[in-house]
Amino acid sequence: MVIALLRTVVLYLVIIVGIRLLGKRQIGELEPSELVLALIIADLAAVPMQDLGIPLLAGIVPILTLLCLTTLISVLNLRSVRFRALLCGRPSIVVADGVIVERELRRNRLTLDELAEELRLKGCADLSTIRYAILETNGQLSVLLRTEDQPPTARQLGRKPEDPGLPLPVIDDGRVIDRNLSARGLSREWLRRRLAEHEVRDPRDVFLLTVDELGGVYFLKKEGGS
Amino acid sequence: MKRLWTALLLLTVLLGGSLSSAIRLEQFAAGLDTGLRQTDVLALSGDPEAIPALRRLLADWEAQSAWLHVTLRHGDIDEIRSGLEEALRLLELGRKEDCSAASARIRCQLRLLARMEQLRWENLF
Repeated sequence: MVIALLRTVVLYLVIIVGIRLLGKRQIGELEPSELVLALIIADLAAVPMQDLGIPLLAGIVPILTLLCLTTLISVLNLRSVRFRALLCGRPSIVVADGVIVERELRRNRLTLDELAEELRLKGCADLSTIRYAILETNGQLSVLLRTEDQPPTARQLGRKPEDPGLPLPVIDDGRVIDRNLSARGLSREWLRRRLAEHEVRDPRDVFLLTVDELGGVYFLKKEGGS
Repeated sequence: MKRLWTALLLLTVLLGGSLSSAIRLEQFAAGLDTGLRQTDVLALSGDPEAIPALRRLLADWEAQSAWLHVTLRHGDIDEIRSGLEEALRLLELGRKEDCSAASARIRCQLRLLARMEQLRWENLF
């Protein structure tokens, strides 16, 4: 069992280093240690589950070891910037002031096509509008547009639009949620009147009815309802 | 910090538990090996004490069966268990030489099983 435990530690560290060396592009949305945990833990659980000749402990000990190691790494990540940089890397600026930083592209093994694709996915086709494009440590690309190319906000336009807040579902698939109804200070009688406005008698004929903080109602009748 | 200490504590418990299990297995296998050697000598000299001695070894093995099944591959455990029963039956039938061969095989399996669990470089890689 001690061999299983130490092998788990060795393999975990080897895979973390491997994933880290693969670079940010391979990671997706997870940090290296989280990705490694997700990769290994499913297999570890499946083996003793399928093979009854292997003791359950042979799966449990490595899984607990992995969880402990991940906890240790996450605590160290929080406490040490240097450790975090070593384990997760640093964000890379791949576009600065509308100019592609070739060195960073090469370092992250990101091709021009891939960069262009990522930028299009972010709704940005014109490089000259970009102040910074940053390849984050989790492999995602963040794009910051130049101030003059950013869409104006209501504040910049000098307007104060009303904030409708969070719409709460009052009827969800035909079921009335009384808790949300009272949270909005409304009654069953109010609901009955609202339904009557839409020529509906039974809440079971409603698919979704939400009420926001300003009293705005969204109504959707069930398909094929009476 | 609480999470850090909990993880460290759990890792220490796991390491301690698995190390003590490996040491216990080595000692148990060594004891069984000695018992089998002594039984072998008794059997080959025609001593009738050999049969009860081998039965005691089988009972000792059975007494540890839960711990062995929890920590080791079931196939390895079952092989040793059936080997012990085979040796006992051979001895009861008076086939001392065959019993001696079976006993040697069990001792070898025990050594390999115990060695496989020890903290050594060759096991780690």
